[in-house]
Amino acid sequence: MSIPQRNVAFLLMLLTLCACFDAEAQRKRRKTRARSVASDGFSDSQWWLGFKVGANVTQANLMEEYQMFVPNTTGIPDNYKKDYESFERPGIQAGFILSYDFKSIFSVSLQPTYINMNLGYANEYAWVGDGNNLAVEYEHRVTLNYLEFPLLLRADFTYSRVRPFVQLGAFYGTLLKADKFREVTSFDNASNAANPISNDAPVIGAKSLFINSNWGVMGGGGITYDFGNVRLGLEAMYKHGFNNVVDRRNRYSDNRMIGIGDALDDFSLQNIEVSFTCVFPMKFLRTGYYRSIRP
Amino acid sequence: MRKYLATFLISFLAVACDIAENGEIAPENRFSRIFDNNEFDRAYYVQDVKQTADGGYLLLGSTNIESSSFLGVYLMKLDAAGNFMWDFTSTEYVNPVSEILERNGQDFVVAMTANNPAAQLLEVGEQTLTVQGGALDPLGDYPLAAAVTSDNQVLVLGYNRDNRRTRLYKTGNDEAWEYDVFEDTNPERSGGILYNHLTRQIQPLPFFVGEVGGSYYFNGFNNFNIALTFANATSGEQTGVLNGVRYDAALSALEPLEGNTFAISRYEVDGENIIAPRADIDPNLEPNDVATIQGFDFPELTRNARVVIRRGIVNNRPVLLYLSDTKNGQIKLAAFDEASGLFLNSRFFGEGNDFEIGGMSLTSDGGAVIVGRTFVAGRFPRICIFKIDEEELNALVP
Repeated sequence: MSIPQRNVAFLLMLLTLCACFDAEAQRKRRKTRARSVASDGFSDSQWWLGFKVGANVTQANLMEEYQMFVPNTTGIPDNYKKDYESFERPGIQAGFILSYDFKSIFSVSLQPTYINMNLGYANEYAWVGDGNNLAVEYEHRVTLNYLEFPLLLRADFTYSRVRPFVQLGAFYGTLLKADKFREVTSFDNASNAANPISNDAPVIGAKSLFINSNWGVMGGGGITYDFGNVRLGLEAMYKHGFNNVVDRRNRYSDNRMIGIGDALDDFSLQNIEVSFTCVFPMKFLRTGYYRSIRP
Repeated sequence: MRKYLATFLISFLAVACDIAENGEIAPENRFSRIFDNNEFDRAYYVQDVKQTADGGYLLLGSTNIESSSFLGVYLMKLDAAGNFMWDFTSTEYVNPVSEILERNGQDFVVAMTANNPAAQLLEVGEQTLTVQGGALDPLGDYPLAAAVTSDNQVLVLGYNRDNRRTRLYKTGNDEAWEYDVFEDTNPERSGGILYNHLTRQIQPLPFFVGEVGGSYYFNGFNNFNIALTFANATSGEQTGVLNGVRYDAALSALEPLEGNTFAISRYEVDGENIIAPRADIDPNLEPNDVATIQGFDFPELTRNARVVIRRGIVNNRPVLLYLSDTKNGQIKLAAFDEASGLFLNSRFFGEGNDFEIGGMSLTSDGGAVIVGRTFVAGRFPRICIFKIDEEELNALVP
């Protein structure tokens, strides 16, 4: 996590803690129960505004394979295909939550989120001659940063302070930044090397290799806890992208990719994210102290 | 809430158009490939590419073979999307000297037999090379270049190792025309420049042959130089010559435009390259020097750069496409306006490992295909191909 991201996360946590302590202090000072309020429409719903932060792991869902290196002989191992990692490299996400509670177990929320996703794949190549051998392992890493707009329908199981819930929805993400990185490990018997030799290629900006859009459906669940007027939560979501995120027009247009002999496959994204959430009510009843509406 | 939902959906539709557009790019429109295998000691060279009737591509090149110090003829066939279909390495025929030629709807190449330097006309089949007729030249010249003439014959530029003369001969013609002695080359000696050229121990020399108006022309050994020589198409009599400086300065490519106007490139004694998209050369000129052809200096090209020139209509405009190698190991495709000779735009292919040009062809979809070779893992010479579509090619011609 970069320094600015750490600062933002720290400030958000500080803000949350302050809000929690303030609300809980008010609650403890004033033991008076709130008077019942006649239903006038105002208390039939509630808006919540807050934020979420968390971590995620990503996997490429292969749609169509493409290769820069193509064998022109038969009978050699088919190691030219990419070997994808499965939900291995962690990323982070942080965003805002705008939620609307109906007078029921349901609520909807829009959660604009910055998400950083990392995925990787590897290839292996080998060349054999009279007493000369060279084996090379290429490890590729792709970092994708999206601004996502998930729209979720949530159902709570209980009305208590501790509320397990499930939520389903769809998301649309627009690409902010993409980078690609390759690490090469060679086993160079031909040059009389006794040990593997590793070289890092520089990170290259790869935004042109991907289209802007990424959309899909998402679902998951979690639990919230009402801490005073503040609602804290922990949730886990699975996101399944539907569209190919790789730009077919530019698959072969980047000379740096050609130079390293790599061409991206068509793939969509699968992502698992775990987030800590904190939302604040926007509508209150003044009953000697401020009590948020719980429709 | 409906307002927010509607706004969200409208925004989604507005920005998600790229998903639909992304699906419109077919695999055959744009691709790049590097054809590799696990043979440590294998080296490939490629000199031409041609789109075939099935939309695929036929590549002509050469590769090292155990039975000869010359390079065996190598053919590769790809489908329309650039996928490997088959290849063929000949141990019987070596040193292909021509581009992929076509006569009577049949693809063929000119190469020489591995055990003697007789030029052969070889019909290209699926993983076969079949001799058409007997040896083109019974005298046993080293074939250096070949082209199809307007009377549907095959014109061959050769060099006779016995009398050390450049010779021009064609099918259907009993006699061969000989030109001045080039005494400086002894092909029997491994250090000879011609032998080194034939065995690819040096950068290939720019031999070519062709026809313009009522003349044949060739770029070959003549008058102690690599010289551009014009000859009467009927008598073979030399009518004009542009001398290089030994083999240190010469024309590197030539494409006839109209009349006495040619698109050319040349290299100078210091290795620097000059491009002249519109050069006037009189086939009946008195002996002169190639350095008299004025053009534009392209210092980014490699020393004595190989150049391929193609004419085409791109973006509804007649253009000249120059393909060459750059000093930083890229392939450069440069477009010039054919009418004015103005430089329009350029594009580079490859980075990192060295990339070298082979050949280029315009494709039926309005795009172009470029072949060359690169050095996989920095050391293994392998054939590469770049296919660009009409949109990408048009970007060169604003």
